[in-house]
Amino acid sequence: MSTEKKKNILIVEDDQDILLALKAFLELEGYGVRTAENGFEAMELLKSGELPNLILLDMKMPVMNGWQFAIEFLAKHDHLSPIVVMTAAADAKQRAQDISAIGWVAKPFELDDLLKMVKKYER
Amino acid sequence: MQTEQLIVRSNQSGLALQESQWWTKAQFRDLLDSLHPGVVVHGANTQIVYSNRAASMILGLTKDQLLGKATSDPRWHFLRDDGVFMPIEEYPVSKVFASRAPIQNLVIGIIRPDLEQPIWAICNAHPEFDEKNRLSQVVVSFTDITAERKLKQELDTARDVAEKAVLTKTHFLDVAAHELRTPITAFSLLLQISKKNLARGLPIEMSTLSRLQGQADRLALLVVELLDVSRLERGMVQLKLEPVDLIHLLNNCLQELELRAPSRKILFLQQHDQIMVMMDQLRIFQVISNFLDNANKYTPVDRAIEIKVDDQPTKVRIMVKDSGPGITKKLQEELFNPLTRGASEHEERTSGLGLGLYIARKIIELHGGAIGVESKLGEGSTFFFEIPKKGAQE
Repeated sequence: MSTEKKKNILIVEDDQDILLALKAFLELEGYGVRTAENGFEAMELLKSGELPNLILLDMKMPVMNGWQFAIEFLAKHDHLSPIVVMTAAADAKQRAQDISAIGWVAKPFELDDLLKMVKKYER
Repeated sequence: MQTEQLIVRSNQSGLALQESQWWTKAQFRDLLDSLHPGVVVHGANTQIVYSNRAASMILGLTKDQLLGKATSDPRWHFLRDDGVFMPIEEYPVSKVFASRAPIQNLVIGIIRPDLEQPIWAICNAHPEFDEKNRLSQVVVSFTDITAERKLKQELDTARDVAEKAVLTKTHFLDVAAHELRTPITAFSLLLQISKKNLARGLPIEMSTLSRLQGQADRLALLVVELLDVSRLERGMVQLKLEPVDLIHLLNNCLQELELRAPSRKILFLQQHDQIMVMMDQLRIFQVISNFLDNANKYTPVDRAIEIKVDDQPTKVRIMVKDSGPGITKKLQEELFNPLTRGASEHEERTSGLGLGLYIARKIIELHGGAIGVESKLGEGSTFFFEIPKKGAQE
């Protein structure tokens, strides 16, 4: 592995299988990965450590959904971590624009396409 | 139009003489009285100088009551097309007197002191001028369109209902597609990561296969729910009615719940050994399971679910009480419609399509029974259904 510092990704997603697959994949690709099952857990997690280089955000989650998370995150950290929306909604692009996210992937998606997205937008 | 011309001519001495060779004054009156539209003529001082029989019918006033009246008689009110009260200056006669211009095909509502519902009419009003171009009279004619308007409103309502149903269906398809995509995504991602692992010489783990199985099961359940709704809505579900012991069935449901939620406390005070009811037992099992699943989902882990059976002479009632957060009155009404869940779609995410209670309602209705909920915020909810006991004696 390179001596370069590992980039960090935060995945916020309530489906544990999706979370698991994404984490395994991004770790294989050399990323440091943190995970949260809803917006509230993600905000708690961000209280310590560095801000991630990118956030992969599901929209429909219990406790605190993607919309609420984006509002809280932007209010606190502005656009310091780019957000990429992962959604099963028919209007994925609109969902991303709603929360001024930098990019979006429509579920279901290819891991390789997601990786391109991550590389393109990571800070 | 022609009639109005004739009247005018009869008032203008030169022409009236010519016409009267064919039409006597009495004949004019008979002709006007036989017309379907109401005709009212206002003189230069705005007072009514002539009205025909149809005018009396539509306005609800006799000729004697009409003659000599001005436009602003407070016993009538006029409405605009949109149902709003018309100010006096907007009355057709007032407008024609003010503008000296005719009014064509204006829809007005007429509120009569003797009728609860307004009469609706299409109104035309024409000014007539004397030789010195002074306004001499205004001829108003109006046709009753109350029946047509009522029919149109009924059609509009029917169209709105149909459009709303289409919207509901579209929304339903959106939600269904969304719900199906989530397990498909999980399934696809687990397969993709497994392929990548295999390519690196890593084995596929048993746990990954179990996860794949779980997502496939979840997909299958969603598809069953969708098919169920589709078949129920098209009336394709035939009940297999047979005498079944409801208590036995209930105990089977409870045993199944125990497998899924072993630590859940259940209170079932069994007061009856057996209650025979004609039913489709698979379908009623489905309804009870749905009630129990919901109760299990919304009741805190340390609290119990209560089951009660009320055996009445003609029907039997099953009640499932949870100690969840309770349900607002508004939501209680919507709960048995498709796509309703205990929170708006953005806030809450539970598996399934939110069709369970809708399916339950359809099943109970097929049994000729009733389904419902009693709930107060903060005090939990009791879901119940009752089905008739006819023809199921042992």
